[in-house]
Amino acid sequence: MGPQAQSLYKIIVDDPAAVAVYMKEKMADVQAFRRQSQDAYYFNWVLEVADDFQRPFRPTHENMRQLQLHRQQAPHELAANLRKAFSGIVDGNVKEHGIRAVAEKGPYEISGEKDVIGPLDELLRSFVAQKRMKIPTQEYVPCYKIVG
Amino acid sequence: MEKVKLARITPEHSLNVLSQLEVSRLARVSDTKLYDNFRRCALAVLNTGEKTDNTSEILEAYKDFSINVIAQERGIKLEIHNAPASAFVDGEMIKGIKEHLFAVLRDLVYIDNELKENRDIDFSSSSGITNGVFHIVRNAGVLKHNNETNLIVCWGGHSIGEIEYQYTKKVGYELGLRGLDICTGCGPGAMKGPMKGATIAHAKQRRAGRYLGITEPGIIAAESPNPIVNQLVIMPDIEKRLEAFVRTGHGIVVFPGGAGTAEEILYILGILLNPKTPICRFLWYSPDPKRPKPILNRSTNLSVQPWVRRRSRSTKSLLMTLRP
Repeated sequence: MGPQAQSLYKIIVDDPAAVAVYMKEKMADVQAFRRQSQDAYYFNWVLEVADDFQRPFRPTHENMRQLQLHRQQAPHELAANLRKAFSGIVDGNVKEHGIRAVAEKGPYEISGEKDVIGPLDELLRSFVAQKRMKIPTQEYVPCYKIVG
Repeated sequence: MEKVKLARITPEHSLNVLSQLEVSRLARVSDTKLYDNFRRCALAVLNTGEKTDNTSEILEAYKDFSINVIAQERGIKLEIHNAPASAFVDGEMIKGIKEHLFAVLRDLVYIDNELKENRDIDFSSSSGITNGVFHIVRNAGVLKHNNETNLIVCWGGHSIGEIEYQYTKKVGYELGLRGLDICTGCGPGAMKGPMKGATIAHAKQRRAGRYLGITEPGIIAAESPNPIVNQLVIMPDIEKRLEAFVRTGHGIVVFPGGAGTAEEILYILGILLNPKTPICRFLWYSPDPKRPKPILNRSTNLSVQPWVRRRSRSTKSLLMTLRP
């Protein structure tokens, strides 16, 4: 997603106490901000959630094939489309709807620009290799297919 | 597969106060699609701890499972046939699971009625969706505690290795020792570990912890809520589930995971990257609130408006934690 996105999170490796200290420290800031912006403590009204992240994505074979996975769009739009791709894969992996759809029509086909789907393919392969897709009670058969 | 032939249960806390009209409405779950959804979610709640995430397999194994709502003068009762025996101890249903069953009823049936009748909730517009998310979490009693900002959302995979799982527990423990509460998607793996760890820590600190689980009907069977969850909310779909996470939580910790975790990371990054929340790209919080410190300021003509300055801090609490 690029350096912009990378600046938005902090990675803490193998140090549970440091994670908790950091989060605890930041809670005071969150509270100060909520007070200042007159937002509720219990519900963040101020946060903008774009339409594309709110409208339900129905992972059908057609919708999956038509996902816009290329760099000719703003980073947040690419994030929205990639989010849909992963959402569809979750659907095909464990949800009743997806399992049935994939059993009937074969794997969801995902296509796009090489720059985007190349790394995506690599990431998905690593998920499979590390048994992160499903609880490994049986051999994992991918519910998706990366096509050029 | 051991099953309990027949069980009748009444709610302990939630749904105690219902009007006669509400009771009769709940009892008349005549809508087959709604009943199907209700049955599936109820089964998922009862089937907690199962070592499979294949929704179709679970539904097949419990073909003869059924659940009915019975209206009584005093309230409501559930009649359950062929429930997984693991949900019971010496014939009595585990209290946490019982609570979850009534949470399912509350969110699916009650909200279904509410959504049809409440004009503030309009799922066709952006603000209507946000309003709907608010109504659902408020109805679940999640917003009662409004005096603290201490709810940490933990995201991560349901299928993770033992070392990773132990790590999520340790992080939950450290968060709990510092008085922070936990919110997850309430399934196994990285959704369970932090809650377990925090439970021990909260006990040591004599704190009544909150363990908020947010799920949705499509995934609940694959990610059965663990009974530590003491506030369960079932959102209508994954998008509203994600919105509920980011609007009710005060910070996010991400553990290792798979496709679902990638979806969650992209969701929050997409929100933060949106030019409509412009400032989070340019500013990071500095300890002095009057002097925000630019860290990525590549735009020379960026002027920092007071409101922009404020906004910069709303969205900064994304934190990722990885195991080496």
